[in-house]
Amino acid sequence: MGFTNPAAFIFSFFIVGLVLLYLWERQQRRLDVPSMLLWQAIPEAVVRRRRFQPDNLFWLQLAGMAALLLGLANPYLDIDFETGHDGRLILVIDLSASMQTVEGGTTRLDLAREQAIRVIRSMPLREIMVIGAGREPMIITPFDRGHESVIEVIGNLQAKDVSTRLEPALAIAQRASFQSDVRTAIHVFTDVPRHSVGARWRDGVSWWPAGTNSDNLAIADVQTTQGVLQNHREMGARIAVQNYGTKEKHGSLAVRVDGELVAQELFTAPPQSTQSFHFPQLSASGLLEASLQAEDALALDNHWRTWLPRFRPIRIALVGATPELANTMSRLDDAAEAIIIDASPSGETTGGADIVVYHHTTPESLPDDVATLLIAPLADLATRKPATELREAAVVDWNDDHEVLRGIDPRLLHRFASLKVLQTPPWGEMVLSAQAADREVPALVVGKPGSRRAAILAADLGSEPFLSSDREPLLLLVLNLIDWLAEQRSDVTVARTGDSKAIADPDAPVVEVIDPKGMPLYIDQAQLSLGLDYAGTYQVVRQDGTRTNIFANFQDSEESNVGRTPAEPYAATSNYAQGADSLKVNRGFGVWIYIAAAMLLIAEWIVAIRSVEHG
Amino acid sequence: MDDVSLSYLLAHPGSLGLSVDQPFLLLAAAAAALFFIRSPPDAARRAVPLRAAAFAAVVASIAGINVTTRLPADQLTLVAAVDVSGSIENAALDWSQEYLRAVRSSLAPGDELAVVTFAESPAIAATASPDDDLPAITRPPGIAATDISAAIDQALGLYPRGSQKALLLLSDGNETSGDSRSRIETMRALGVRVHAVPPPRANTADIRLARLSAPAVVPAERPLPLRVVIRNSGGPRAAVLNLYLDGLLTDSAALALDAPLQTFDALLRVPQPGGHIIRAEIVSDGDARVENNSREASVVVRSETTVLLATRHRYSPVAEVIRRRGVNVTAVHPSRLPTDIEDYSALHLVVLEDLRARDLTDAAAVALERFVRVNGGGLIFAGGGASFGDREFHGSPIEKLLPVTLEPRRPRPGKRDPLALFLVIDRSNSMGFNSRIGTLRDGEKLRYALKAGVEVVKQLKDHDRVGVIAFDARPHEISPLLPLKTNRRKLLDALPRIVESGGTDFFDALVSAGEQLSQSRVNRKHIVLLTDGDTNRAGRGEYRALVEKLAAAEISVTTIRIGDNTVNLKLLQEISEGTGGSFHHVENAQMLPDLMLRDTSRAIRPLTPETQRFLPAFGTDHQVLAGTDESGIPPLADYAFSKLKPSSESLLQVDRSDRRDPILSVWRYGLGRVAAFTASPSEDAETWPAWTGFARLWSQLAFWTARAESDDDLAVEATRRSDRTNLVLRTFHRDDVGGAVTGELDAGDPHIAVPFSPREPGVYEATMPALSPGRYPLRVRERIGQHVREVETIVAVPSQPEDERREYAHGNDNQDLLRELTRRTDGSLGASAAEVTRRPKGSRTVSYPLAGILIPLAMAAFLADIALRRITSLRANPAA
Repeated sequence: MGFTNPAAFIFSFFIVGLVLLYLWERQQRRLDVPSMLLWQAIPEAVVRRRRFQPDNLFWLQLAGMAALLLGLANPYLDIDFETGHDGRLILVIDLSASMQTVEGGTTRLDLAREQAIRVIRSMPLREIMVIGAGREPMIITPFDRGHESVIEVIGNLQAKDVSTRLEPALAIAQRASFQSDVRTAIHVFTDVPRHSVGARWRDGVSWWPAGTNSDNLAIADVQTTQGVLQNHREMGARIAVQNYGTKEKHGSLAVRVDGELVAQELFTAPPQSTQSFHFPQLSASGLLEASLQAEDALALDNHWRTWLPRFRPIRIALVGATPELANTMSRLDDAAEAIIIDASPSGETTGGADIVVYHHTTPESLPDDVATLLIAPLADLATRKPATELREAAVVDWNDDHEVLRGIDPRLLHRFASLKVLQTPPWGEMVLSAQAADREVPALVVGKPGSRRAAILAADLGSEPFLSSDREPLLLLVLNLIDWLAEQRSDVTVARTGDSKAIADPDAPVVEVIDPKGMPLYIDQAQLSLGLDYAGTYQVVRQDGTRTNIFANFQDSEESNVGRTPAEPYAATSNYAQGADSLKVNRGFGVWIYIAAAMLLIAEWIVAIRSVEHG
Repeated sequence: MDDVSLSYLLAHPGSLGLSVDQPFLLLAAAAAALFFIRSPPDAARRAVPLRAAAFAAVVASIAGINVTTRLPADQLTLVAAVDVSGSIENAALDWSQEYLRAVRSSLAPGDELAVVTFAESPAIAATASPDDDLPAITRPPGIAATDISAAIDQALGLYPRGSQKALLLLSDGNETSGDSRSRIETMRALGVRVHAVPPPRANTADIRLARLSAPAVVPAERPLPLRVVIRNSGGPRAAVLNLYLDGLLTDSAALALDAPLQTFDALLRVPQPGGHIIRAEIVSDGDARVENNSREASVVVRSETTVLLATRHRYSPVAEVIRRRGVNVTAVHPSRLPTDIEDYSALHLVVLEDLRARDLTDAAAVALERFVRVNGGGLIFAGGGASFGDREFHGSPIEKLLPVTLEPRRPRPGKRDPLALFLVIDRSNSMGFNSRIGTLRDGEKLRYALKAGVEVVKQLKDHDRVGVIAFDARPHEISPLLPLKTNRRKLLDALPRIVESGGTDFFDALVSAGEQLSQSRVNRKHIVLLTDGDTNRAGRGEYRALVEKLAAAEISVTTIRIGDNTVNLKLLQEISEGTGGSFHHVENAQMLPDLMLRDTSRAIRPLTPETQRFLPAFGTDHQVLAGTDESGIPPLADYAFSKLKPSSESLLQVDRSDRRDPILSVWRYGLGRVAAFTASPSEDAETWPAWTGFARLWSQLAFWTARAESDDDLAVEATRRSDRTNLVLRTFHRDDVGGAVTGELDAGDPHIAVPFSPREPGVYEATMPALSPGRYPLRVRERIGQHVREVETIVAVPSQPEDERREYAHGNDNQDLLRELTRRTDGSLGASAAEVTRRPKGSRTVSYPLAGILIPLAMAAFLADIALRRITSLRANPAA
C-alpha cells in the first residue's frame, strides 16, 4: 500500500489544531462543587490523567478531519498481476554505410542480422523493439511479441549510404527502457567500437561487434579546379584516392563526362596512403563521373559524381554607374566571363541579368529575383540617410573563412581611396572592414536578404583602378564577389548522402522522386524534404513532367576507414530498467474516503445539534 | 485529459476554464441545506456557512472538479544546444542552467526538452524524456573549440517525427570549426526553428588583440611588415604591446588605448631562413579576459630574392643598386642565359639590359617566355632604341611578353614640343598711365600689356601651357600653369579684366611662376616679366638666389620695362641674362604686342639634338613609384619609341606634343609580371645613378616584378591542437598538381617520419602527434612529376593551440551568425524562456484537479467551524 500524494500529510496540523482546541476548551471549563473535602485525597496525577476525556463529538470531528487528510493523501493498494512477462528486448542495429563492408563473402549487416536473430531465438516470450541507427534513428518496429514477424523485418533491413550516429538511437532505446516497468535489455549490433560511444550509453548495453576487414580503397575527394586567372573553360578536376587498408592495392581510376571516357589512370596505392590525380583542362561540361575499379571491401565509396557547369557568361546590369565604372566593368569580360547587358541610370531594363549592380544608387528595396551588388551607395540602405564619405580608409580586419575572400590576402588590399560609411543591414555579414582615424566601418557586407544573394561594397570602385596590375587583390575580390553573387544555378544539385533537400513544389501537392534504386518516393507538402539515404542520382519529377537531378555522393572518411580491431561481444551486466517480472497496478481509493468524510461531516453536525438541544 | 502543473496554469491564465469529471455528483451538495435547517439555536449559528462550505468543497472534490487550459495543437520537441566551450564564461554556464529551468517550467504538458552540450564535439546530456532530469551544465575537457554544426547534427537526430521541432541555441555564436550555416537548409527542410539566446557577458571591459597580420612568406632580405589590430571595449587605458620572435622578446612599446579600434605597424628583421613564430601580446590592467590578449603568426622566411641579370656591359648600375638591397644578383652575358626552364626554377626575376635579338638564342627566348607565363617569373626588359627598335625581335617570344610594342623608329613629331610659359604682369598703379605721357592716366601701359598677353595666348597651341600672374605689392594668380586646351577661354576672358592697383613687387610672383614651371615636365620653360618700375623689395641677394634657381631649372626669363622709368634696369638685365632670356626697355607701350610675339616665337623654336632633353613624368599611380619625387627625375638623353599594349600601364612617360611615349610600363603576362624600360640604363639614362631616387625606383621595380616564390621555395606551416600537430606544406612549383611528398622531422631521436597527403595542387598536409612549441628541422623529399629533390627547412610550432586561438579570438557574440540562423529558420534571437515555448493554443485540453486546494480549505473551514461552536458553547456555559 502507498499514497499517491504523501505531501498531503503536511496538513496534519489541522488535526493537531483540533486536539489543541479540545485541550484548551477543557482547561477553560470550571466545575462548581459545594466542598473540596472529598477531592483533597485524590492525587494530583490521577486528576491530571483523567483530564483528557474526549467526548463522542470530538471523536467524530477527529474522524472527519482524518478522513479529509487521508483522502487528500489518496492511499492505494498494489495489486500484482502475473503477466508472464519475461521483460523486453530492444535491438539497435547499425544501418550505416560501413555495414555494407564485405566480410568473407557476406556483409557486416548480414553478420549483424544473424547475431540479432540468434539473440531473439535465445530469449522467448519477450517483447522486441528494433531501432535502426544511421544518420537518424528510426524505430523499425515498436514492441512486438511476434518474434517471427520481427525476424522477417530484420531480414529485410537494408543498409543506407550514410554515416553512423549511434548515440541518438541509443537515446531512444534508453528512453524506451525507462518508460517500461519491466526489465529491458538493449543489444547493439554495429561495427562501431564500444569504446567510441560515451559511457552514458555503453553502460547497461550489450554490444555485438560486426567485422574487421580493413581492405578499402575510396575516392576521398573530387574537386574541380580552375587555375589562377583562368576562365571557366579551362576547368580541370583533381581526384584524391585513399587506401585505408594495410596492404598495397592496385586499381584504375576512370573519368567520364556525360558517359564518355575522357581519362583513365592505372595506379598502385601503398597502404594507408593518399594519391592525387589531376586532369587539367577537361574542356567539357556535363556530368563528371569518377569510378575506381579495384578489389576492395566497400564498393560504395568507389564512385563519385559531380557537375561541370556549362559555360555561361554572368550577365550584369549596371544601374547609375559612372562612365569610369561602366568602362572598367566592361573590361571584365575576359576575366570574369561577365557581360554587361544593360547600363541605365534608373534600372528600367534589368531583366535577364544575373546580377544588378547599383552604383551611387540606393534602390527602394532589393529585388528578390536577382542578385544585387551595391557599390558606394549614396544613402544607407536601412536608414535612407545620406552616407558620409571616408578618404584613404585602410583595410583593418576581415573574415578569413568567407569564400568571397578565398585566395586573397586582404592585407594587400591596403586602402580604399573613397569609402561610404554605411551600417550593416540585418541580413548582412561584415566580411571586410576598414578604418579611418579611430573609426571602423564595414567595407564589404554580404548576405542573403531573400532568395538571392546581395552584397554592399562601400568602396567606390569608380575611384579605384582595380584593373591595374597594382590592384590585383582588389580585382580578385571583385571577381570573387561576382562569382559568389551569381551563384550559377543549374537544374543539377550535387549533395552528400545524409543531407536533406527541400524539394516541395508549391504547385503540386505531392512531388514524385525516383531514388537511385529506382524506387518512386512521394514527397508531400507536409513533409517538404527529401532525405538522401543512398548514393546515386535522384530524379525529381515536376508536375510539368520536367526532371531535375540530385547527385548524391557518399563521402565520409570515418565510414570508409572500415578496419576494426577484433573484439568479443560484450554482455551487459545491468539493465537500465530493473523492473520485476510482475506488473504492479495501483488502485487508489481516495474518492471513497472523501465520501466517508462527507458523511462524517453530516453525522458530526447532527450529533452536535442534538447535544446542544439536549443541554 | 492530460495532467498539468499548477505553475503552468498560473503562467497561462488567459485560457483557463473549469470542468467536472462527474457533474451529477454535484447534486449531493444539496445536502448542505441540512446545515441551515438544523442549525444551532445560538450564536454558533455563524458556524453554518463554514460547515456548508467545507461540505461543498468535499462534494466538489468527489465530483472531480478541475481547472483546465488549452494546449498547443502539436507536441513540441525542444532540443537545447548549450555551448560549454572556453569562450563562454563560468557565470554564463550558470545562467544557461537557470534558463533551461525556466524553459522546462514553461513547457506545455506533453512537450519535451532534450539537452545537448557542445564545445569541440557534442554530447547528449539529457534525452527528450520526462524521466530524464535536467542535467547540470558543466564544462568538460576539450573546450577550446566550438563546433555548432556538430551540435546541430546531434540535435537533429533527437527529433521524433510528427512533432514541432525547435532548437534552442545557448551560444555566443563564435564557431571555430564546422559551418553551421550549411545546416540551415536541412533545418528548414525539417521544419526546425532555431531560437538563439547568447548568454550574457559579465564584464565587457575587454582588450583583445584582434589580429596580427603578417605575410606568410617573406624573402630574407626584406623586413617583415607587421600590423597589430587591438580592440578595446572599455574606456581609455594604458597598455604595453610586446613582440616576440620565436619566444624571445624583441620589442616592447607603451600604448595609449583611447579608441575602440587601433592599429599599430612595425617592421621586423628576420634574416634566418625557415619558419618562425611571431607573437604579439597586449598587456593592460583591468582586462576582462587575458586569453585573447595575444596572437601568433607563422612566417616563413624564404631564401633571398634571386635575380639573373643579362647584360652586354661589364658594369650594370641597375644590378648594383638591387644588390645593395640584399638581393642575390648574378650578372651574365646574354649568351649564357639558360635555355632549359628547369634552370630558372630558383630565380625570382630576370633582367635583360640593353639586349639585342641576336644576343638571345631561340631556346632561351622560349624558356624565358614560359618562365614568365607559366611559372609566374618576373622580367624587366631595359634598353634603348637598339633594343626596342631591333627588328629581329619581331615575332619572337620576347615581343609577346613585353607590355609595349617594338617600333623601329620614333615618328617625326607632328607638332613641336610644348612650351610652358608664365606671364608675370605688373598691375601697379603706375601701369594706369600713358607710357609716353607720364601724367596722362589713360591706362595705356596696362592695356597694351594685357593686349600683348592676349596675343600671345592666341598665338600658342593647345598643347602649350600658360599661366598668368598679375602683381602689385603681392602676386595675384590669374591662372595656374595649365594647357591652353583647357585654359585658353578663361585667359582670354580674364586678361582684359585686370585693373591697376597698388605697389610693385614681382619677387613672389617670380617665385610662384618658377615653382610651377619647375614641376612641369616639358623641355621649354619661359617667363615673361612685364613691369614699368622697380620692385619695392630690397635685397639683391634674394634675387641672385632666385635667378640661380631659375637657371638651374632651365627656366628662361624675358624682362620688359615699359615706359620711361629707368630706375634699376640693372636688376631686370641680371634676371634675364642669368636665365638665358632677353631684356627689353620699351618706351612706347604700343610696341608690346609685337615684342611679346617675337619673344614667344624665339621660345618655341625647335631644340637641337644637343639641347633636346626628355623629361619623364608620372603616368599611372603605382606602388613602384611610391616615394619618388617626380620633379627630381633626371632627363633622358634619348629613349626608344614604343606604344602601350592594351591592359598595360605606363608608369613613367615623356609628354610629347601629340602623344605620351611610355618610358616605364608594366603588365601581367600569364602568371608573371613584366616591366619595360625603354631607355638604355647605361647610355640614355647615364646620369640617373647620381639621382637620389634611382636606387629606390629600381629596387621597388625589381621587388614588384619579381615573383613572390620561386619553384624551389617551399613553406611549411604548423598548427597545434590539443592532441596533434598539423603541418601544411606548400610548394610553389607551378607544375605541382599533386605529387608525393614525405618528410623527416628532427624532434629528438629517433626522427619522426611525416607522411604528407595532397590536399590541393601544391598543398600537402600531415597530421602527427602533438609537438611542443619550438622550431624543428624538417627534411622534405618531393617527387613531383619528373622533379625530385630534397630540401631542408625549419618548421615552427606555435605555442598557442589553433583551437584556443580561434576560441578566444572574439570578444563579442557573433550576432551575424546567430541572426542568420534564426532569421532563416523563422526562429527568434534573444527571446525569453516563455517566448521560446510560446505557441498558439490548439484544441488539446489539460486539467489540474482542484481537490488539492479544496480539501485543505475544507479542513480549515471544518476546524474553524468546530472552534466557533466550542468557543460559543464555552461562553454560554462555562461550567462543565
